[in-house]
Amino acid sequence: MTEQRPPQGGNGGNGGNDGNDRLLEAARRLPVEIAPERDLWPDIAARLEPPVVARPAATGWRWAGAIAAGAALVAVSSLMTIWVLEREDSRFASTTVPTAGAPSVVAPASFGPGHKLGPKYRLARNELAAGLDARLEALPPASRSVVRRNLAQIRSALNEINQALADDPNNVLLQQLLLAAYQDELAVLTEVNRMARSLPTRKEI
Amino acid sequence: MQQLAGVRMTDPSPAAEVSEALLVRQAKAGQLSAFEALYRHHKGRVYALCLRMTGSRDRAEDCLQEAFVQAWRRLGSFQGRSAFGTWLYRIAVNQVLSLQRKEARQPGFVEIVDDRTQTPVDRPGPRDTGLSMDLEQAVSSLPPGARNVFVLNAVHGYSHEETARMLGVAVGTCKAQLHRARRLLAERLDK
Repeated sequence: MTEQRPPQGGNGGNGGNDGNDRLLEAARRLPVEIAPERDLWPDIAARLEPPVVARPAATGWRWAGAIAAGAALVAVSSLMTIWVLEREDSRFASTTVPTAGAPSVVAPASFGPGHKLGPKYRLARNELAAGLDARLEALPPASRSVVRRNLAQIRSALNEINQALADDPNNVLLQQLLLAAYQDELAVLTEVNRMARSLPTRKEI
Repeated sequence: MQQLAGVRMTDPSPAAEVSEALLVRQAKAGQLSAFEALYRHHKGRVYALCLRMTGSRDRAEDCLQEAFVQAWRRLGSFQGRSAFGTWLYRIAVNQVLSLQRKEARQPGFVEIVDDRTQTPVDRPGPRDTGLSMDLEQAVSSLPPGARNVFVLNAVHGYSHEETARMLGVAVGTCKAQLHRARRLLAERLDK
């Protein structure tokens, strides 16, 4: 790791004889990073609860907040993990999900060497993505804007993590991050679909 | 996406880089794996700060753990106006200060200096000089006020203004404590 030491502040008023200069020089040479003797992460992780997500004001359309919260609250369930991801034993298998509708809606999906996206996940993603733009158009502008922004962020994350995985395909942390990002994307798509279905029709109004 | 300084994830693999901004965003969304990546990137620096400021390995571990737990709880309030590391190190320093205040309120508290702190750990070879070893020991023997200032300013390179802000003291106090620390260290290292 190459953590930069911030620029040294002025030590005005402290004199500057050779002994003190040597002392400061020696202090600057001390490592700014020291690894703990044991891995403290398990103890920390055991104490972490899900972060508190601020609730939006309950006035008017609340969908924007609901979508944002939906994207934020990701439950990493093992069931979902199995559903999204299938292990492939032998060779690289990168799967591209065909786009349905506008190109802004569905981006190519892959999961690095040794894995492929599960068929159930791909099917669900395709179904949800089909006609997403039309469903988005039915939403209020504020909600639509939040959805698009969330999806753009998630896909940007997917690209970035996929690139990192290409360099380091066996990195477990990266795989977990990528999986969570795919789950985020699916959660947003599902939420949009649900909301669009719950919109009152002209007849109902 | 805003590209910030890359995070080199040395654990478990040194090859992959993901931007810190992405990790912070995902951690804010509740992804523990992203927060773990942030932990693995920053643990060395946080631990070094805590170890030198507390002078005890056990207390440094406690402060590090508490700092990351607090950081997780406060992630929602992190606006990204400063680097995540800067924000995190301030939380860690606050944990150490809180511990020191707690210990100061307990007059019967017996300070047990962990023998292991007398041996600096994981020091890279070329830096592992006798002077560094002596200096680490001498720093750990300083009074807390002088030690905090010396560690933040002289070792970790924070300016007097930053050091004063982190410790909640006046800049003049910070300079005076640094002067005191240097005098004490010079005396102890000359022995």
